[in-house]
Amino acid sequence: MTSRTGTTALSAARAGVAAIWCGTLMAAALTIDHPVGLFALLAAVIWAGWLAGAGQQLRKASRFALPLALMVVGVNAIVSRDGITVIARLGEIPVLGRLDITLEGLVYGAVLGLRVVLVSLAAVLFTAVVDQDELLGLVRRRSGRFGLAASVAGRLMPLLAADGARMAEARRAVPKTLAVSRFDLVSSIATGALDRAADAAAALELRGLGEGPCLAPRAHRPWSRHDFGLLISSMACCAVVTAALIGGWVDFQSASSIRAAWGLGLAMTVVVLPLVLVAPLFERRGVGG
Amino acid sequence: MERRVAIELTDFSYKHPDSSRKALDGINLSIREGEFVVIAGESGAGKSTLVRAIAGLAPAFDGGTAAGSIVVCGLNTRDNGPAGIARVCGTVLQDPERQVVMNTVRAELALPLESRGNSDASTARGVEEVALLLGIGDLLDRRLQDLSGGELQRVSIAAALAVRPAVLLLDEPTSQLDPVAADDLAWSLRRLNEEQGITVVVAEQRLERLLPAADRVLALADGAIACDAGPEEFLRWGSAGAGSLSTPAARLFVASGLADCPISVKEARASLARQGFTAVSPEPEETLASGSQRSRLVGRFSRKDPGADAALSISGLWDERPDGRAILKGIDLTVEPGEVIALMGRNGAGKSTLLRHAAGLLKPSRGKAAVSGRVAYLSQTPGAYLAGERLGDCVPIELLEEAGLAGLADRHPRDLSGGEVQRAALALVTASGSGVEPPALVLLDEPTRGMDMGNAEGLLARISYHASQGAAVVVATHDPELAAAAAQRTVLMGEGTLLVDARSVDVLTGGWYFATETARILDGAGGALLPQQGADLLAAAGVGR
Repeated sequence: MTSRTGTTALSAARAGVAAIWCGTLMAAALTIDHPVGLFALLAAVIWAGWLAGAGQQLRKASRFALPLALMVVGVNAIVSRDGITVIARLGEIPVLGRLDITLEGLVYGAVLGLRVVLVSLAAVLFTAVVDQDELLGLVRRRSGRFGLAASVAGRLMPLLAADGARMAEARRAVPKTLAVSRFDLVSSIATGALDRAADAAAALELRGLGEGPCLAPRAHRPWSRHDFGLLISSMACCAVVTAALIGGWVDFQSASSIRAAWGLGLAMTVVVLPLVLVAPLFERRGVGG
Repeated sequence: MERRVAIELTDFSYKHPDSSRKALDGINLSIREGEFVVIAGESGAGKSTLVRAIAGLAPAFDGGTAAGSIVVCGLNTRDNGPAGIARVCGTVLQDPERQVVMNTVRAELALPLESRGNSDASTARGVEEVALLLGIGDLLDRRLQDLSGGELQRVSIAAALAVRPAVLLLDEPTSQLDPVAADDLAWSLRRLNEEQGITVVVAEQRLERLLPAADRVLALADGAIACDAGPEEFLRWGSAGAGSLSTPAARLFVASGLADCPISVKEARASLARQGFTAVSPEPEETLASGSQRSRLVGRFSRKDPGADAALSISGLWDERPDGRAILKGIDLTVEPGEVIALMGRNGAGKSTLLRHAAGLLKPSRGKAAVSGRVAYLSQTPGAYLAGERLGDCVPIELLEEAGLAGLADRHPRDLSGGEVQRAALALVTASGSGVEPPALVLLDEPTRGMDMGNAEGLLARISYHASQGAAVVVATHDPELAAAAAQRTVLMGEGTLLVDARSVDVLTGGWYFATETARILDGAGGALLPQQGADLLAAAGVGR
């Protein structure tokens, strides 16, 4: 987990509000079924990431998210028993039985895969631009023990990543015949996680965090235009998604046959949704970049 | 007025889990408020264990069994966990990467203040003051993962100091620092001790920087206190018996047969002046050539292309990062077979990056690094080379035998000392035979970090061996004594460029920071870098012996 000083409202706003904005984005991705609506949200994530200077992180994350999405499409196509439009007959397979690939199963898998990509990229945007330290501080104020556990977990990831990078580099520097196998390397990193967790917990104790809940009085911090902007954007996103769901503008189902809503409502949703989400990021005053 | 006791150990013993030997054995110790205490000892003597026990980590976090008691400012470590002890005692452990917990420097410094319930304003003030004290104001908004080891070390110390503890405990705080930062830190600790009255307890291998500030030195051997005395008496004790627990200045005086080992360069100079020694230092302009000047001289007087038979030839090498920073800026460097060169410079100068380019682990933005054969590269973290449950699974037994570690084949690499890990990893990367060609280039990054003198001498022997076999050796180090003992040539780096590339004797005698202690005492006279060379010079001048 890392935090990044970016140059948009997402980094300038209070962490709680920026987290709500990212959470709204993920919730919308999990609520909307229509692939066109999901593509609109994907456009919003990429646009926001680009504006926030997190394009490189999103590109890196997509290298893992895309293969994962393809795997979801493939598995769903194989295991799905729904759908009437058979596009390939694979015959009898031991254990699995008769396998037919249907268009509906493939399309539903594609929607799931798209959702995986979307949620992954939104999560990466969240870790890249939201101040994790401030967020952990908020958690600690509510519950000291939970905050401690969250801090250890948060610290563990970069420590293990650094261990992995060092071990991989060391492996490259050793003569090939003497180098440990990849399996041993991964196993060593995994078994080292316990040591690293103990290190992180010890460090937190030495900073005085094990002494019970932190009840530091907070100074009043006035709400900035970025706080308001992101909160209004989140509320507007919720309103658009709710209206689209109630109005049936983003209806989509692929259980037995493929049926999708097409029309002005859908067109309005896919245009308005990204604009509503990205609009506050164009406010550059006071972002410190 | 009698000062109160800050730290009291009564018959304290501690045994690590799964160990039959006591790491600390019946320690009785009383440290008074405002004292500056240095803990000395060879690797494995128990220095770090003592620090961890006083901080409340051993056995609460480390496991194992303990007997006796430790009381820190009235708090017993049995009844108060590390967090409780942290109320009165700031602790800085050896590896700074393992003790930072937040994402930015500002948040790291604010955390201990927040966790004590300080208000936002009080936290902000505390962060600002401690950042100014440690000279890290410009790092406040940087991400911790982007900092160098030395910068992380200073941030860790600042975080420990943020709550203005009554006691400050440090375990090898200068091990990752360049000579400039290490001197700054020594002065900061002295100021905190003298002006703020903070009790300072420092475990350290390199004693020369801290002895002038110390009230007491505790020497540990096999988990027990072998010497508890003032710095002068400790040096007399160290020089008489355990020569490895000494300073270069003390070794110079002992080798010269002079009485009263000095605890500082100033004292050593004064003592020599009283003996009638006057140093004549060489003019820096006569001896030093910049990297580019050296290349021109080579080209003018030699028909041979300097890179033709080189073991390592780096030309016009740039390393530019996506955020626009240039880590290396047009480096030109040639190392011949059998040559040993030392790479020195401040933290963040680009030494490690240059070694990684030479090892082929990084891709340059421009320029190239060519090597004539196999490269053996040992990074700053030798433990990363030993990925396995047993040492014998990571390193073949014949290599362990060569390194004198065959008896440890069944141990987990995590349970080895720093020196043992370093020797095993070095044996692994420099292995040859059985289809593995011997290395043409050996690259060592900070190999003496946290190493005692005995292990450092073993390392010097390995370096000499590889050079005698025709390998070029490049050692990145903050240790001028190592550079002087091992390298014919020293390259000084700064801000990603080569500032000076010259004979070690020329580089290490002319400076204030990048100079050996012997050279600083003798003002570079006669090109003496090491205590024995200094003693020979003094003998020739009729001083001592």
